[in-house]
Amino acid sequence: MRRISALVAALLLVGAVVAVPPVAAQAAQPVGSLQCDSSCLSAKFVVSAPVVADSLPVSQSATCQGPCHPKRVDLAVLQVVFVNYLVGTFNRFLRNEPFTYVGPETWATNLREGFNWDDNNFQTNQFAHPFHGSIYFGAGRANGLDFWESIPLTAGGSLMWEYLGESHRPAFNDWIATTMGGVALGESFLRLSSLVLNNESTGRTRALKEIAGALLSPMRGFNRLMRSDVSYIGPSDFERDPGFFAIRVDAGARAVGEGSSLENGQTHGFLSFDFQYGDMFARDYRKPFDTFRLSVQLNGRNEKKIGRVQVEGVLYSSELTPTTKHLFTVWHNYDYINNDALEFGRNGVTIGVNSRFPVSDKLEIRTTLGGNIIVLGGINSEFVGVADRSYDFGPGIGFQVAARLLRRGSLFRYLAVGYNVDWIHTVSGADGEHLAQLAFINTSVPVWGTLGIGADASVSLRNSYFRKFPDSETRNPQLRLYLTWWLQ
Amino acid sequence: MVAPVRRPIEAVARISPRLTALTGLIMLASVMVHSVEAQGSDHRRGFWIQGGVMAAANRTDCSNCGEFNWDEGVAVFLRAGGTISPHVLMGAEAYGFRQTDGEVTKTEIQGLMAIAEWYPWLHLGGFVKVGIGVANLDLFVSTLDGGSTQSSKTGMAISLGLGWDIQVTNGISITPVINTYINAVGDLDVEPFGTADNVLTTLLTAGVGVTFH
Repeated sequence: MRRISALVAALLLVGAVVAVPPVAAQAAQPVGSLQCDSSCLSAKFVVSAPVVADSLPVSQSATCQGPCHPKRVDLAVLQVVFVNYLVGTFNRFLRNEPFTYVGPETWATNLREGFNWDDNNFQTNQFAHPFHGSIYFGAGRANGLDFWESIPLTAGGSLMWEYLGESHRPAFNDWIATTMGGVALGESFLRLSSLVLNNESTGRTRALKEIAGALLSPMRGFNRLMRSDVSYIGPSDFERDPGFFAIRVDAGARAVGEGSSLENGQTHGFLSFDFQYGDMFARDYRKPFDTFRLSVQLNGRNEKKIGRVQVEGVLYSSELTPTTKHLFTVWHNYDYINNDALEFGRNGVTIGVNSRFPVSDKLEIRTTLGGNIIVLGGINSEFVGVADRSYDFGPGIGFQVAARLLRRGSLFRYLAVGYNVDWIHTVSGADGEHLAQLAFINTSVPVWGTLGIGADASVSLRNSYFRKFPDSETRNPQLRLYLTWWLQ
Repeated sequence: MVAPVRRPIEAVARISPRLTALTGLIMLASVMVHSVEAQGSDHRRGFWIQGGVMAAANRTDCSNCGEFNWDEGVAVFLRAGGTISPHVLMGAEAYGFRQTDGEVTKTEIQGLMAIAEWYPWLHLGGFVKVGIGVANLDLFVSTLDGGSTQSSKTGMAISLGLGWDIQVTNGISITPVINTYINAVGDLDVEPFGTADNVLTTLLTAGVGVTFH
């Protein structure tokens, strides 16, 4: 098996070296001389004309500035294979995980027996797998595939891992979570890395930017390194101006209770980051995730350190009125909520209307009204019956409504109220239905410059109606008090 | 006058059926190539409808079941919808599968889903299909007294597929397709044996349809 691993690694390495001839051509040119205007583009593309003529869209060759690499589907696929190989090797030789002992026999068995459901813990299934998927997605995007083209690559990478990378049977839930969550996380982090990277930077700043960009989008970092983009000085060939960008950092204490009070609960510290990329009302965005919101909450003194990751990426929007007051919007949802009170994961799409109502010169109200289609959700359950799993899987639908009072221009949030309800029909776990509701109110006030204070109150309610077990109800109030830092 | 012309053909067919089949395949391929060259994206517009028959293999699995085998049967599909762009068609698909053992029906699956068909190449007929919706599973189980019980459950369905429109005339294409339908219905009571937990079926199909654009 070690020989096979070594052989595969050697083949992949040879493939990677063979597949990147443009790197050598580019690296041979003196740094600083690649101010890539149209003449430069012409000269550059003459060198690699056979490749470019087949794979580079005309529109891209006409508008691209910077290194402007052609689309390389072959490289993207090769890198997905390499990622799976690396992950498998890491798990086998460093973690000695039994599931990594794979070979022709397990492959044949998996191909013959097909999908089932797995029993991994919530974090593995709902966060680790989507993160794994984001690497596949990043490989596609870093090799010139667009958003939609990178989705089949992500799904294919996940299928390969499920069928060939693990000795146990492929898990249907993993495939969905890896693909859908991977797309959401992959595109979000790729966009954030675009904000960090700058081909015109030099010196230590440039080095730090490249490192930060690679941490955010590892496959992009890998490809920039392989193509010598890390040392290219000139225009950036990626979107660096989303029109609007803001980061909100909240740090404070969070108390989660049971029943109707906080008395029986626990209090922990937390640190959360909210990234608002683009403003759907500010520009006529065209591409998926030209505007998105990414929220991450880290919990302190809690076994579940990553308490919340949520992505809302706009896939499509169009004006319902000529004044851009109401936008019909379709957005991709990825939700991972994991704390002592609630395990809730959701991969789906929301279709709705976002509206903007000016209140004064400085204030405006924005509202969201949407219906959720949950392709596959996960929610904690008392009677799962699948090994150690603590949650059920199922598709569902939902509804959400929210209103926010914002400072115009900066979108600083003074007040937000909202209500979400999701119904999940169990197809793996305890047969039945789950109704998950969340009502919240958030308020924050600027105190000094970009600093402020805030308080949130919310109540989550889960009603589970089991076919063969007693119904159950859980109710968890939560209070958060925090300092907030708003960067725009 | 006729015999000298017919004899060589008959002789070739008799001597080498493989050669005949190969010749047929080459002719079919040349027709396909010709149709591919002739067709463009302009025929993908407005309302479209597609239907066909497929050979199918289904595997019904559950958490507490013994080993299941792939059961062969027949599947049909009907898709219809609108053209979003020359690259993308959207619509709905209804599909059905039946597996029989002699005269006795063993498994039936019916599904309805929203689908999107993506044509990566503007001037070629190849497409990828994805779909999501609901499916119903009917299992017919023989009992010890010679009878049979029927168990039904509805759940979610996801489908992936590939196809190729081979345009035969303006607005009509022959469409070879392969598909997989994953149908997850959850727990299924199978009387008198008990409950099958977390039932999930994998349906693989390959067939030919006709598309009207």
